[in-house]
Amino acid sequence: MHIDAKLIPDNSVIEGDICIIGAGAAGISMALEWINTPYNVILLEGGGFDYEPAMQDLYRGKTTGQRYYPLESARLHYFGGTTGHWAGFCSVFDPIDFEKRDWVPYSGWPIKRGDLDAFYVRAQRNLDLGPYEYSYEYWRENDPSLVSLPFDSDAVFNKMWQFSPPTRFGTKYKDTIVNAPNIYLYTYANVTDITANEHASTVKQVTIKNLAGKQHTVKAKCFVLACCSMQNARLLLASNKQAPKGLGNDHDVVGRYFMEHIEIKSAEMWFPDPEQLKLYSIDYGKTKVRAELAITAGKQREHRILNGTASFSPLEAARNQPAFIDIWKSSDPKEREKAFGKFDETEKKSKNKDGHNSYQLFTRVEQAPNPNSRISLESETDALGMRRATLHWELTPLEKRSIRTIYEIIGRQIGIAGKGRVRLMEYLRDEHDNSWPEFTGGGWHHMGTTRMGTDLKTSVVDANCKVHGISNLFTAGASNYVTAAAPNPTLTLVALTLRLSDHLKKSAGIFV
Amino acid sequence: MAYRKLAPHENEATALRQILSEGKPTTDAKVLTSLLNKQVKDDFRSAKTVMAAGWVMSVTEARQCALFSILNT
Repeated sequence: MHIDAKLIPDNSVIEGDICIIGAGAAGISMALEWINTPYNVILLEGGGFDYEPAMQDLYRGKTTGQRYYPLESARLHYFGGTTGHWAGFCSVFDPIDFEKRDWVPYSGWPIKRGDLDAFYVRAQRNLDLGPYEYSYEYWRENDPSLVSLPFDSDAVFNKMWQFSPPTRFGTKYKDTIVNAPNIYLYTYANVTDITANEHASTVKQVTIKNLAGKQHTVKAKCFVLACCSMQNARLLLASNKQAPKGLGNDHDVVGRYFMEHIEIKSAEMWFPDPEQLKLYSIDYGKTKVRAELAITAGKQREHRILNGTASFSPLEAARNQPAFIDIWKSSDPKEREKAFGKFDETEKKSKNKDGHNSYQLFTRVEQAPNPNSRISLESETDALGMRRATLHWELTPLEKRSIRTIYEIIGRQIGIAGKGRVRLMEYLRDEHDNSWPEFTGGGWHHMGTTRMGTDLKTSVVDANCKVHGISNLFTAGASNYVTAAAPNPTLTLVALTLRLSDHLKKSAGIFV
Repeated sequence: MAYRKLAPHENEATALRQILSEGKPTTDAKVLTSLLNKQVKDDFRSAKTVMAAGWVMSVTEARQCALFSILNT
């Protein structure tokens, strides 16, 4: 059922069993799980069904530290959320990503990769992906033309990616959600406050507002915050009536450990003869799988580096491509499509049936968890009277050393194979230089801010995504990430959400 | 030039020739090529690599570049 919160009487009181705040990949994935259950589910979406600049403006905020995109461009504020402009890149986290690594400060999840496997299988379906298979051998068996570069598998491996069409949740799941008898989707329902009991141990209700000037109250037994890393933190920090520092923020952790993937051109690989590298190529909209080069867990341990991957683009085309940080400025998904289209067109034009002698190597590397990299509130308020979020994005020398080392390892491996040579870009050559070049960017991947953990001083939620100290408040999405791993976050955040959903179902009677 | 700066003690043609031929100078191109190719592979395997002008290269390759550079200046 769909209700437009602008059209119901002011000060309405809405009641249900479970209230999901945010209708993006996480919120919709959770709502789908509860269809035809005996529970009434309220799904709150701040925007409508389409892109609207006025709604998008609610996400505007300042940034400091490392240069970053306009905040309102990175997340979409309507039904379907940021799946409205995502590119569909999916891969799984590696087991090492969940481990405590003594060279990566604040690493170590309270769950293991194995705890997510069953949920990855289900998440694959939500995102219209293929089988839950991420080994190179599986895909090679299906397509013998996917030939690997001859690396020592103890050092470098083919990290496989699958590509979602990409699934636009707002399009694909709208009818299912709207027609579900026990799902009550409210659009134009921006949550501006979470009200807890006197001791801030249980959430009683949330306040929703919209630009039509209406305000309503939502009461439920259980609340799930699924608004993205930036907005989950913003909402908890802004909800400070019962807890002066914000809900779940007794230890000043909410909003901290904000992470992005550093996405940056880094090196070149040269071959004496043209190489097609089909396994490592992508034709947007057609390619189902491809590989990126990744460093094995053993080598990561040996060199004490972060996890990251390298992808290939023909050098001739890639050399002239502008950096993401210079072009991903608009929040309008149509503009994003245009930007992608230009990339795709340039790559297609550069394609040569015989392959190329030289390729650019592009890095996607995890950011080390860093308490100083954070979302906080600024004094300026948005049109609904809520303090805006501000981002301070801060990187550490570990990220840069890791990128340099990744290419030294790949360079040695391609040398051992006698296949080619690697040349690092200038900004990576001086090991004492910790600065970042102007073209450094992120992937529009926001992670951390309500991270999982058992230590109340360094985490916001427990292994079941429940906010510490609050009996009925949960967070869903990439805000729960302890570390960022190398892959884009969507597949894992959907898997984590399905895990949370199962937990809530098992706990029915306690929470709902 | 990059390797000559990295290893100034090797910045001399005779010394580089001596090292590259493993103390057994030869004028036989086939023998020399085979020797150098083996050295390059061994370098990469044992992580005897340097970064010169951004290139991840074996020390043997870098020495050849340095020798070429000295002979052409």
